[in-house]
Amino acid sequence: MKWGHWVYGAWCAVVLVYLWMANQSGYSPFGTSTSSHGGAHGGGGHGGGNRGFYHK
Amino acid sequence: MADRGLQLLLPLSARGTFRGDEYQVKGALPRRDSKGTWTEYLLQGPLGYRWLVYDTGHWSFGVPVEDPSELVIESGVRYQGREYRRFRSGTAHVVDVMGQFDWDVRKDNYCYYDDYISPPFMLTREREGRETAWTHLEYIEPAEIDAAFGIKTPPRQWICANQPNPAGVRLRRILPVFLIACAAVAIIQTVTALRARQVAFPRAVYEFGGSAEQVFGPYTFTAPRSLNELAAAADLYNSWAELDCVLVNATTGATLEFAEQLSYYTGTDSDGRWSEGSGRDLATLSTIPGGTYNLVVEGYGADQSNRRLTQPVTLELRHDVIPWSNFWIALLSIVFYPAWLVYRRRAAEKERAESSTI
Repeated sequence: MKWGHWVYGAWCAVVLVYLWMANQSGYSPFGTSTSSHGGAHGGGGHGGGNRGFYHK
Repeated sequence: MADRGLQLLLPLSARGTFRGDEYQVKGALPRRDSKGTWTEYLLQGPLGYRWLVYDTGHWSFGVPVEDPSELVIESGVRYQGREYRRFRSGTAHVVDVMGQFDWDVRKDNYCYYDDYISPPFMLTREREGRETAWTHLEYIEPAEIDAAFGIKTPPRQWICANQPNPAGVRLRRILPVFLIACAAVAIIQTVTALRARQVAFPRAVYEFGGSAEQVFGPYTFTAPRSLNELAAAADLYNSWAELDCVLVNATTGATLEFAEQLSYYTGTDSDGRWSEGSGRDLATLSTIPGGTYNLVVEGYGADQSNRRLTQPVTLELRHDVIPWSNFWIALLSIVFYPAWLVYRRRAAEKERAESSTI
C-alpha cells in the first residue's frame, strides 16, 4: 500500500485535533458530562449498592 | 517447472528496457536445490551479460563481480562498503538449458553455492570444479520487470532472501510522521497541563449520622470548560456505601447527576485470604461550564449485617484537572500502526530465516 503513510498521516492529524479539542473543552471519554445522566439517578437508584449484600 | 516445454515468464529473445538500458533475453536456466526451483535468465545488454533471477514471484537483477579482490570474506562478506551475512548454502542443479549460452552449460550440471544477503542486495558465490564465480544481485520490484518486459509476474508467496522487509519499508516511510505526531501529542499535553488550574477545594465529609441529603459548596469553577474529579474515600470493612451526587449550577440551575460507589469485602476461604473492592471511588466530571456550583449528596450504606453505615465518607473535589485519558488514547492511536508494523516486520524476518540454511 504505497499511500499507507498518507493515510497514517491523516489519521495522526485527526488524533491530534481530537486531543487538542478534547483537552480544551475538558472532555474525557470516561467522564460524566452535563449532557448525560449517569450514576444512581439515571441508572436504577442505589440498587447497585446492594451488590455488597450478596457478595460471597 | 523442470520440464521442457515450461512456460517461461520471460520469453526467449524478448526485449525490454530496464533502468535505461535495453536488454534481450538470450537464455534461461531453470535450477533447483533441496528447497525449491528458480529460473535464471541470461540477458544481453549494452554492458555485457546480466542475470534476471526469478523465484516464486520475486526478481533479482544480477551483475557478475568482475574483480573478486574487492570482496572481503570473513564470516560474512564486505563488498563496496556493505556488510553481507551468510544466508544459505547448497547445491544447485541445472534442470534445463534453454536458449544460447556462450559457455558450456548442460542439463544436470551442478555447483555449490553460498548466498550472502544485505537486503535488497545479495552476493552469490558459485563453485564448479576449480572455477568460482561471484554475482551481485539486487532485488527488483516485480512491477518494474512487468513494465520493462510487458509481462505479469505471479503474486509473491513469501518473503525471499534479499527482499526488503515490506513492513520495515512501511515503517521507515511513516517514521517521520510518527515522530512528529508523538512530539505534537507531547506538546499539546504539556500545554494542557501547564494551563490546567488544578484547584483542590477543601475536603468535605459526608456523615451517615446526619440528614440523608447534605449540601456542600459553593465551589467556583473558574475555567470556561473543565474536567473535574470528585474523590470519595471511606474506611470500609465488609461494607458498602453509595453516594448519589448532584452538581447544581447555582446560577442556571443546571444539574449533573452521578454516583460514587464504594465497597470493600474481605474474608478467608479454602484458598486463603481474599479481599475485593476498595474504600475509594473517583467520579470524573467532563466538560463542566464555568460557574458556581453546589454539591448535593445523598448517601446509602450498610455492613454485612445490613446495619446502617457509620463511617464518614471524605469528599475531595478537584477543579480543572489534567485530562490524561485523552493523552493516552491519542498516544495509543498513533502507536498502534507502527507497533503492528514492528510485529509484521519481525514475523517477516522469521519467515525469511526459515529459508536460511545457516
